[in-house]
Amino acid sequence: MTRTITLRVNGKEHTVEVPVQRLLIDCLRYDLGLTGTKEGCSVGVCGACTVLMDGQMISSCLTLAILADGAELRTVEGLAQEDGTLSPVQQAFIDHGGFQCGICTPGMVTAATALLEANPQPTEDDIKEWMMGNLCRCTGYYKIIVSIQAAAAHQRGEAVS
Amino acid sequence: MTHVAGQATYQAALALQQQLCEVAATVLGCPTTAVTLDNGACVVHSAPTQRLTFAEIAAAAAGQCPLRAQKLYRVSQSPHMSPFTAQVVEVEVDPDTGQVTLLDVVTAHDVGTIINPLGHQGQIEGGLMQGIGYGLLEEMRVDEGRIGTLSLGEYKLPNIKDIPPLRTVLVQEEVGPAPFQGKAIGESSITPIAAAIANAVYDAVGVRLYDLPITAEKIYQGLQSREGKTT
Repeated sequence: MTRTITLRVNGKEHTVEVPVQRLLIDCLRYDLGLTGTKEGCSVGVCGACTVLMDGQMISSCLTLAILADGAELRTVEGLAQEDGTLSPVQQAFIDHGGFQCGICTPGMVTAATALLEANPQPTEDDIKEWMMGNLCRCTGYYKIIVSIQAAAAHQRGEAVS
Repeated sequence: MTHVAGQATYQAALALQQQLCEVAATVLGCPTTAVTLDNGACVVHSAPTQRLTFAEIAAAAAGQCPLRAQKLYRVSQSPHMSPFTAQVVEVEVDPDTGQVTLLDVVTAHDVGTIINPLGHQGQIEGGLMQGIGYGLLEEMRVDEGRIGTLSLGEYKLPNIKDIPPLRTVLVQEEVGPAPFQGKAIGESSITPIAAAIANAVYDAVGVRLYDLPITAEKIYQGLQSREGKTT
């Protein structure tokens, strides 16, 4: 059984016919070709597949594509500007060693973006509380905290000037 | 990586540099020893205005010889040189539950020339947390030959809330087997921390554990049996 659904992904509208059991991550990666979002654990505990659905963080590996019908989605591909300039969060992850192998990174930067939209001045504890659903094997998390703090400071600096 | 891949890359780069200088010297009409590399070009020592960019050298070499170098590096070629690591941990154990909390960690490394400071520290921190995972959380359960931990939902990795306060000490000496007297750092911080935690737990509550991970359940059992109770 298939259904035709309409997704608005990073500001672009897509209409696709999907089997009803199609997972959102597979729809993004294989139907729309947006392979930035990664599948890690497949059971909703590692956070690698995090995307924003109507502004909320969700695990796209647990969400059926048909449940996103009509929703506004943001994926890692939608974080940078049109001209390719990276977002402050993305740039900070590069500058401060916020990633090593990179498999968790799309989910990390997407979750961190959502954090800074909800709370532009997070404390270290706020960051830990928000990011605990995103696992990373390489960095030991220390530099992820530094990266998010740096991005927050950068964004506040821009707002001031 | 830094040592073996670094040495192979470094030596291949030196061989390629020699080839570039030879071609440049032929074109410029001077001995190879008079030519040196400078910012993407070969220049003549004594007359720096005489220079050829890499693109010009490649064009001059086209059809004659491929500019290519391949080097093999074996670890046995180098003097044996281990990187040493020492780690200290302070723990708190809840006597009612056996739960361990890491209050403070110091990780000390003997290092050579640090080639990429950000990446270097990243290896230390990442390795440390992996070692803490093995020490406290990660357990592959096998029941009658069947793996019991089938996903990251059951095999618990440390998350961002599990990181302890950390201080890093680097004892630097510019002697190492890697290019530019570098030394290996990757993963050396994984190994000692579980043993340090086990020793700290023993120091704190007198329970000696020999198998990982050091879970609250095992410590609780140890506390109970030490007090002569059975669980």
